[in-house]
Amino acid sequence: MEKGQALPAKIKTVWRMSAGCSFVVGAVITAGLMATTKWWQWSPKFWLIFAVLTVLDVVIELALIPYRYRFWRYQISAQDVEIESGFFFHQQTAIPINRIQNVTLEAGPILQWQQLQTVSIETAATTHKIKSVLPETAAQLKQQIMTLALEATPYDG
Amino acid sequence: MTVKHLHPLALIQMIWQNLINTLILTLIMIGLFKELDQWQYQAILGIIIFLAIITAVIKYWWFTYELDEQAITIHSGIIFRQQIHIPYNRIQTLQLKQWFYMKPFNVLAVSIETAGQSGSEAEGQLPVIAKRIVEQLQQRVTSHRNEQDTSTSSNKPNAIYHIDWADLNTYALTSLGIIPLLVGLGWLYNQLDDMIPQKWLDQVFSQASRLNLIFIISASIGILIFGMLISYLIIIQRYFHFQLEKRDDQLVTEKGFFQHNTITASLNRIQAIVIQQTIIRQWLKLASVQVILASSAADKEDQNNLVMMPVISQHHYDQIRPFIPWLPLSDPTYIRISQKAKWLLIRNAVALAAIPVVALAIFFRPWGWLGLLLLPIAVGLGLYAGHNMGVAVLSPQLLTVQDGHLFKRSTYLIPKRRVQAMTISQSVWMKRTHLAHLRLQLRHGDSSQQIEVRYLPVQVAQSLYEWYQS
Repeated sequence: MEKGQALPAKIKTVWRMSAGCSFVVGAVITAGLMATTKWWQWSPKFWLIFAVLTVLDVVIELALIPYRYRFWRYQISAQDVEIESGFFFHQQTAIPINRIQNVTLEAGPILQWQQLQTVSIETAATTHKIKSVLPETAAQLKQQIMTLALEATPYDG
Repeated sequence: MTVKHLHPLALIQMIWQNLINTLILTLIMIGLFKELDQWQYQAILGIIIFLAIITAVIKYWWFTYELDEQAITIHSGIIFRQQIHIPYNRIQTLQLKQWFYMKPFNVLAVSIETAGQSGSEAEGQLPVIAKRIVEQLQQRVTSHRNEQDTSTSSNKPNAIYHIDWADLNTYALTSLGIIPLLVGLGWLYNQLDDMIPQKWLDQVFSQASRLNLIFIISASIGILIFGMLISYLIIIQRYFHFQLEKRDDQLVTEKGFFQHNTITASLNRIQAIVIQQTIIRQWLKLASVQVILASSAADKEDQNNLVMMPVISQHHYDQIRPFIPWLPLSDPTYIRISQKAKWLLIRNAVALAAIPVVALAIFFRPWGWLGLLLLPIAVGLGLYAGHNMGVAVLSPQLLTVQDGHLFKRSTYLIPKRRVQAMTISQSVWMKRTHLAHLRLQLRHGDSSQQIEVRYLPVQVAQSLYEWYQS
């Protein structure tokens, strides 16, 4: 596709934050495992392995952010919503507007802080997500999809 | 319309159900208190039966239903009262079951399904009601349906199909029901193991080990033949006198010997048609025709598909057309995948099999080496999948996909408007070979089904994607 809309640049901050969260969670669990080594003489292997895994996870997550951002695209036309992602594992999905059953906007704490929203598009079979959009875009998108869905010939279950 | 209770026979069924449910508990109790007198055992048994009856009576009393002008309402539950309200025009499928013992009383069990996502259970269930009321319900459902599309209703079927006895016979003979049966026997053994004292089992086995090898072999062959006979009879009884009818916009299937089963589904709720053939049946030119519905009232044994024709000769596909007018007239020519793609499927199958093979070979020497036998099977699976993978556009509105999983070929016929989403997926390595996977999402029962055509030439995948978008 390569012609669709990119996600808002702020999403990179969100992804960095969530990598930070993974780090904090990992660090807490590692600390817990260290405590078990100290008090219950568990093997130090556990916390060492876990610490390495945590660091690796965070580093990979951070390293992949520019890549994820670069290849994530979405596009809404009168006929369908298209979502494209990935370079190593490239995926391109088309969801015709008249298959859409409902559209949900949601935002967790990090997204709220960055004033972004996730758009979930549900069909009778599956749910597809546009990772994040600016709130005005989100509302506009919802409006657009719902208007188009109303105009399109209804799907009869 | 007034509030009604179920047929009194339901009471007996509920008591029976309660007793079955408490059976294992009872056995455990008796196992726990070994040192009891006979009268004490009798007292425990008496209390259990009494409780079973009382709870059944209360449940029966609180279970009521109403047939209104617009909808059916079912009230149930004792502590958590539940009220289910189903408008007639929302009913997708209606399933009637009649066990042989219900016939003399002229009663039936009814399951009502809508498109709502309610898990595996049907939205509305009436365990035992009189046939008179079932007819009332059916009449209301059909009249509400006809109001919508204003077509004239006639009670005569538009098309009718009966199963061919010879075909059913071959179908039952070629079914691989033996494997589920062995699993069943294993389960039974586990249960027995828990319930019967270990001492008895040990005795049986120590006796068995004293007998010679020939006896053991002949006994296991006997069990195998017995298992096959049972699975043969199960299939014959399940599809006994199978009949398919088309009435206006509804498909009605009837089948069963011990349990007479009637399913009514509306034609415009069909998501796709699946024609399935195991490798043996492919060789015998037999196929099973099934319907993917947006509700799960169909059989659990058939992956929740509605079986339209349990078995039909490949030469008689024209018999399906009277029921599903949009089916193609002739066999489509599929776009098959390339030699390179077939090789990739074999490679994947072998790579997947290699994990347990290596593990077995390392940890269970020397018998683990037998695991190597999995590799030729994996090659076979890959070959079979590659050979059967294919896709074809039949009309601007109709697509067909073929695939072969675990030596079973499935041919899907999918109207475009039933494809909920389509995805092209391509990894970096596939970019070099110009291949891509194509994935289709369908509604199936209460959830979704993904159909994937793997390793298609990328131009083909792209053209199908554009066909879908247009």
